Parts: sequence; structure tokens; C-alpha cells
Amino acid sequence: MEQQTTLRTAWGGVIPVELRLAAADAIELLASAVLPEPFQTFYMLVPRVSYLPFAISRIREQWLDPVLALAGGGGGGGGGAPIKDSDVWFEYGGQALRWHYPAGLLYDMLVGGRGGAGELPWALTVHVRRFPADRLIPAPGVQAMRDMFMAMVKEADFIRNGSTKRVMDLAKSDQMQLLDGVQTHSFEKYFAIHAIIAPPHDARAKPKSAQPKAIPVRFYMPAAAAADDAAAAAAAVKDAPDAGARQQQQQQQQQPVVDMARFHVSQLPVPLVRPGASSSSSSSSSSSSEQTTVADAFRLCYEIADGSAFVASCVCLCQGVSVPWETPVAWLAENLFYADCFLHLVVAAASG
Amino acid sequence: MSQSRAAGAAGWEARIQAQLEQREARVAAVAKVIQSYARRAGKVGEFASQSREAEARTREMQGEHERLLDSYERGSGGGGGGRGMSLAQQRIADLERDVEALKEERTEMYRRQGTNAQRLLDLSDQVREKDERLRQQELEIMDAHEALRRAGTKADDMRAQLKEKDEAIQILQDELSALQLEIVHIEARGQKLQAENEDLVRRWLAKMNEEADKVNAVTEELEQIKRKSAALSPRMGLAVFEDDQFFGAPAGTPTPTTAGGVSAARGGSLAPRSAVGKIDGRMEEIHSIALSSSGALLAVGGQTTTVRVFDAETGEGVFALAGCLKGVNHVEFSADGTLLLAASSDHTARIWKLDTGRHWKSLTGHIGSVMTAKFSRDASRVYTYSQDRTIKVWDTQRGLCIKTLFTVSSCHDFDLLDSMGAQLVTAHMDNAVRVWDTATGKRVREAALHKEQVMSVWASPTGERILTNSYDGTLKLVDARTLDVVTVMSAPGYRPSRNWARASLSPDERYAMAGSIDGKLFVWDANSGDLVRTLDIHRSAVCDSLWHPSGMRVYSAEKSRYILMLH
Repeated sequence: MEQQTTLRTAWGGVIPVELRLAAADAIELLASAVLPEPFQTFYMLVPRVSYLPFAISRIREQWLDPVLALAGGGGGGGGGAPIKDSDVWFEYGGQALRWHYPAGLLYDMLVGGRGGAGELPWALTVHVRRFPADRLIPAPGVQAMRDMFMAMVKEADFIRNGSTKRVMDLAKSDQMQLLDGVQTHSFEKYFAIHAIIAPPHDARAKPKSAQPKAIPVRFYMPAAAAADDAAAAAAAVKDAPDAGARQQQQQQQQQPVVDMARFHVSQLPVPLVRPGASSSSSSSSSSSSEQTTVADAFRLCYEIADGSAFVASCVCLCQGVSVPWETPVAWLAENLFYADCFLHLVVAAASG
Repeated sequence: MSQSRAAGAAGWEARIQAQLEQREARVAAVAKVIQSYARRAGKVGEFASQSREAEARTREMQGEHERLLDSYERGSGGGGGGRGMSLAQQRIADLERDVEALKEERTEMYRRQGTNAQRLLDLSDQVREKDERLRQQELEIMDAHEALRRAGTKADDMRAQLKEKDEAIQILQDELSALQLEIVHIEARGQKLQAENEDLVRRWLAKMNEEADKVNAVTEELEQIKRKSAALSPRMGLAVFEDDQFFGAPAGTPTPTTAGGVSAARGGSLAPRSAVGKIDGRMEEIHSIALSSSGALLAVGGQTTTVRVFDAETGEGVFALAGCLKGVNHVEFSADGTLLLAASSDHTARIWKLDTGRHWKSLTGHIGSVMTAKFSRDASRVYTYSQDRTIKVWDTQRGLCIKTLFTVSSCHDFDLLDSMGAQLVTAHMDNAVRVWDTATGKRVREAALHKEQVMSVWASPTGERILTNSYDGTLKLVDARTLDVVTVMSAPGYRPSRNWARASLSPDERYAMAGSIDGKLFVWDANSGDLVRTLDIHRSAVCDSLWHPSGMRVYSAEKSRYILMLH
């Protein structure tokens, strides 16, 4: 089915990541700023729908520990205290990455699809000391991540159905399966449970009660790209050269970086049917004029007047894909959802 | 659906699809490289971990080695050479120590086992004791239950018995009340009967009196008639005789006054020779005759209820005294001649007044036929002997029985020994003669004088002699005081008749006379006992014979109807 393939393709998306150890930490651990030759960089593929903390153990086992073992050996308790998972944090362009965001979201936010070439692989820096507790939610770890994830799922369920019944009624094994599916990036595992929580619905066939009441959507807009500053943001973005080579991207990195702290995050439940539309039965809501589009949602969220051209000046990213504004939210919810059942949509100024 | 979708999706969906593919395409190449890199990195990680483990193990082994060395050095007291050997010795020493320790432990274990076994035995003993006690208690409980059950059943039985007793009591009480009711009824009836009885007795007495009155009335009438007839035919006298023929009399004309063939010495009384007259007793069977003391009247009593009184000279009937209900057994005049006493088979003795011929008194009280009745001399007392074996003494005036004597054995006859009747002499069927004291009722004397029943007893007027007549054919004259036999008289062919036979003495006590069953009349000399005369003049048995108080005449009555006057 085209839906399934779209889903699978969307789910299967990965981000190649290049990791380097922070210099300070390297000095601390290995008494040298630079790691031994083959271990200077570590490459891995992080699924878009997954989370960074799930990757920490792999980073540790396959890179950091061997490095330390080789370089440090048995010589005098190498590098002080052992590395704790809760001390590991990632940094991109000087910004600590919020570990509770999906990786794909982080990539879209910071690198941005921008209609083409993003930065591949995505160069991140790994820190193992001095966790910035003031900027990040402290103590990342697999268990903490799992809890965070489940919280998001429940929230999504609530918005969808008005109660968290579906999630709460999941058997423990099912919950584990869901989490394992996310952790191990197994589509089958995950989707089997996801179908229970958020059954894919046929707008015409299913009774109205089975339809979700609303779709949980989050819009991420750089603060600079607020309605009253849209042009400046657009200009700032526009200055960047077109998507293409890595170097260009790196150049872009030097330029005003999208400040994470200055993102405007707003969440809203988006009704399936455009408010104000006739309240005819669901079977007739197949017409796209009835269904809420992303544009409608965006306008709804930021209270932009219908006639504003601002919408057209922005681009909406989801899963690295620039989503046309007239896409129905319902379709998006069923195909391009993140692992936590939310639609995380990054709105950025169009790059032209 | 898909068509509409396709139509609408021409825009966004297609674009999205395209972008996804682009994204994938971009990532693909790099992804491949990184994937192979990742594999190598994985391997590296494995190796690193393995090497880490190996290092750790070697370090551990080194540590142990050093430890062993240290311990050996300590154990063997710092010996330098022969480290290899000393190591083994060290090991041996260690093992030996272990063995020692283990041996100690083992002994300890054995000891503990022993104590535990002991304790086990004690506990099992206690358990057994407790079981024993428990069993005993259970038995006791069962016994108690049994006793309880038995007591319960006994109580039930008792209760049942009690109930029965109560019911019985109830029944008895009911019966009692019923019986009491009956008693009341019966008492009432008894009283009623008593009242009736008294009433009946009164009525009977009244009736008797009535009858006596009636009899008196009748006799009065008869008197009147007689007087009338006497007035009509004076001194016809002999018309009374019915026929001229006398029964087998050898000689003698029927002259009332003179007797033919007077023989022998008279001296006061005569032995009769021949019949001079005949009186019709007017009854079928004569039982007894009596003469008044004046000799004027002759009373005859017999089978009929009427006592007839005749003129002794003429033979005319003077009275026909009624009153008896049955036959008369004995008649007697009172000494003054005013009263006539008759002993009757109707259990009474009756007294008539001879001046009027009226029934005067009836003496009731005997419960058997009155056989003999005698007046006392002054006629104030009457003595009756009845077949109920009693002699009753009556007050003549009042007509009440004063005394009753029990003679025990049946008598044929009795007589008074003295004028007042203080002593009586009785002639018994048991061949004896007895003398009684009237006042005390006790037997004074008795004597078995005869061989057979004593038929009659006759006391002499003086009271000194008693003449007894017995069925054995003898007459005995005995002394009254001692009952010694003075004279015995008998005669061949003399046999007294069975029921009525009286022997009598002449007034001067010279002769004794008795009649026999075959009609002969015998006269004996009382002193000598010789048979003086035999008169065969009666047709039937002679039942009674008397001397006229003058002694000149004898009256003898034969059973069938006739009385003969004899000179």
C-alpha cells in the first residue's frame, strides 16, 4: 500500500552522524587533546524517530571504552572517574542539544531540510563531563528517556481520544515492545503497538467515534521567524547559499546559528475537520476542503489571519520533508508521525 | 477512495513522497559507509571489551599469585629457597589445617546429633504420655455421656411413670367420687327402705289388730248365735254326738255322768276302764288337749287354725278361737281359767280371754314354730318353746319377750318345775333331759335318761317328780332334783306315736298314762311301775291324754278327731 510504504519510508529515515569527543574531555581522559588516530571520529546512523540517549550506550561500548582501554590501558585508573551515561551530552554549534527531542526533529530544527542538502553527516560533539544542568534536563539515561517517551505518548493519546485509556490499557509487554521498537528501530515491533494506540482510520469506513478527536501537533518556529520579524528571519535564511555541499553547510554553521533557546514551541490539538466547516457526517469529510490542512493548523496556532501571505513565505519541515501547506493534517498524522505520536513541524522561512 | 486521494494528492502527497525519496537518496550513500563503519566499530568494541576482560583476568591471577606467595612466605617463616616446594608444603599444611577443622566440626556435629536424638526421644515420650492422657480423658468423656444418656432415659421413664400414676390417681378419684355418689344414693335408698320397713311393720301390726278385732267380732257374733240357739234348745247336749257307735268299746252305755265298770281302788284318781263319751274335735288332726283347772272346759288344738273349746261335761262347743295363722301345737289354760294359751306353727303363741272369747295377745318373736307354751302359775309369765331351739319367757301383760334361753339341742317338750318357772325341764331329741335355770339361762342338770328321743316331760304338781316319755317305749319317773330314775314303766306293744305323744300323771301321782301309736292306752302304777290297764279303744294313734282334775275321768285324744271321755 502506498500508505504503508510512505510510512515505512518515513519511519526508516536515518541521519548519519559524525561524533567527535570534546577536546577538554579528551585531555581529561586521555591526557591528550586528540584521540588516537583511528578513533578520532565515530560515525553512526541515528534514526530520525529515535532519541540521542538511546545511542549513548553504543557510543560508549564501541568507541569510548576501547579508546580509553587502548590509550589508557591499565595505567593508573585512566582518566579519573568512569564515564557515566548521565554525564553524556551532545553539542552542535555550541548549543547543547535537548536530549528529549527526537533526533530527526533536532536535525530539522538545527540543520533544516531547506529544500535540499542538509549537512550529511551531521557533526556533533560528545561531551562526557560537566553536564550543563542549567540548560538541559538533567540525568539523561535510557530509563529516563523511556519515561519521557511514554509521557509524550500518553499526552498524544489524550489529545487524540480525550483520555489516556489506550496507552494505559497497554500490557506491560506491549509497552516494552513499543519502547524496544523505538530503541532498536524496529518498524514491526513499533507499528504493531502503534496500531493499538492510534489505529489507522479510514475517514469513510470507520464510525465517527473511532476517529481521533484531534491531532497532537507541535510547531517549532525559530523565534526570529515570528510573525512580526518574519522578513528578517527570511533574509537571514536567505543569505545562506543553496543546499548543496557540506562546506556550504559548515559555512552556514558559522553564521548566525539558529538559537535553540530562541525557538518558539507551541502545541495545539488540531481538529480533523476545519472548524467552521459544516458538521456533516464523517463520511463526507473526505473532501479535502473539509479537512484541516497544515496551513489551517499553523494559522490556528499562531492566530494568523487567513489572508496573510506569511504562511506562503514559510516552509514546514517534517521528517526532513518539506510539507506542502495544503496537506491534510490527518494524513500527516498517519504517515509522518514521530515515534511519540506527535507531529513535530518545524517552520522556517523559505529559503527560496 | 484512492482516486479522489490521487486527485487531491496530486499536490502535497506527491511532493512529500518525492521529498522522502530524495532524502533517502541523499542519506543512502553515506548510510552505507557508516553502516560498514558501524560494523567495524562494533568489532572494535568487542575486541576492546575482550581485551579488557583478559586484562582483568590476568590482573586477578597476578593478584592471586602474589597472595599465594605472600601467604607462603608468612607460613613458612620467611624461607627464601625452594619456593616451589615450600608452596606445595604450604598447601599441605593448609589442607591439614582444613582437615583438622573439618574433623572438629564433625565431632561437634555428632555431639549435637546425639543431643538432638535424646531430645527427640524425650519429646516422643512426652507425646505418648499426652496421647495416653488424651485417650483416657476421651474414655471418661464417653462414660460421662453414657451416664448422662442413661440418666436422661431414666428421667423420661420416671416422668412417664409419674404421668401414669397421675392418670391412675385421676381415675381412682373419679371412681371414688362415683362410689361416694353411689353410697349417698344407697344410703338414701337404705333410709327409704327402713322407713318403708317401719311403715310395713306398722301396717302389719295394724292389720293384725284389725284381724284380731275381726275375730273378736266374729266370735261375738257366734256367741250371740249360740245364745240364741241355746235359748231355743236347752240341754239338748247329746245332739252334739253324731253317732251312737263307739269304737270297739267292749262295754259301756253312753252316759255322760256315770262311768261303766269302775274298778279297782279309786283313791283320788282312777284308772279308766271304758269310754263314756266322745267329743268331736272338729279338726282333722289333733295335736294337743288341755283341761281347765276347774275341769269345766276342754281345749283342743290341732292342725286347724281354730282352737276349739268344749264343755268338758257335755262336749258342746263353747268357743272357736281364731287368730292363729297355722296349726296349733299345744294348748293350755291358765291356772285361773280365764286365759287360754296356744302355741302355733305360725311362730306365735296366742292368748285368748275366755270370758269374751276374744283374742287378747299374740306373742311374736320366735323364728320357728312354737311347739309348747306354758303359763306360769299366776299367768304373769308365758314360757314358749320353739323349733328355733329357744325358750322364751314372756310378760303376759305387755306381750313382750323378757328372756330367751338357748337349749342348744332340739326339744320335744318342756315343763315348769316350780310355780314361777324359775327352773324348767326339757325333753330332748338327744335322749336327754335337762334342767335349766331360767334367770341365768344356764343348764343346771342333765341326764341321758332314755335310749331314744324323749317325747314329753311332765312335772308333778308338787314339782318333785318328773315323768318322761320316750320313743324307746318306756316311761320313767325321775326325781326332779337329782334326775335319778325312780320308776321305769314299760309295756309290750307300747310305742308312742312319732310326733305327738304325751304321758301324764294322775293328780294324786298314783297313775301314769300314755297312749301308743296303735291306739292303745296304757296305764301304769306310778310307784311300782306295773301296768295296770290297757285300753284298746282308739282307732288311731293316741296323741294326748289327761286326767280330769277330779281324777275321776280321763280324756284321751286320738289323732283323728275324737276325744274320748273315760271313767
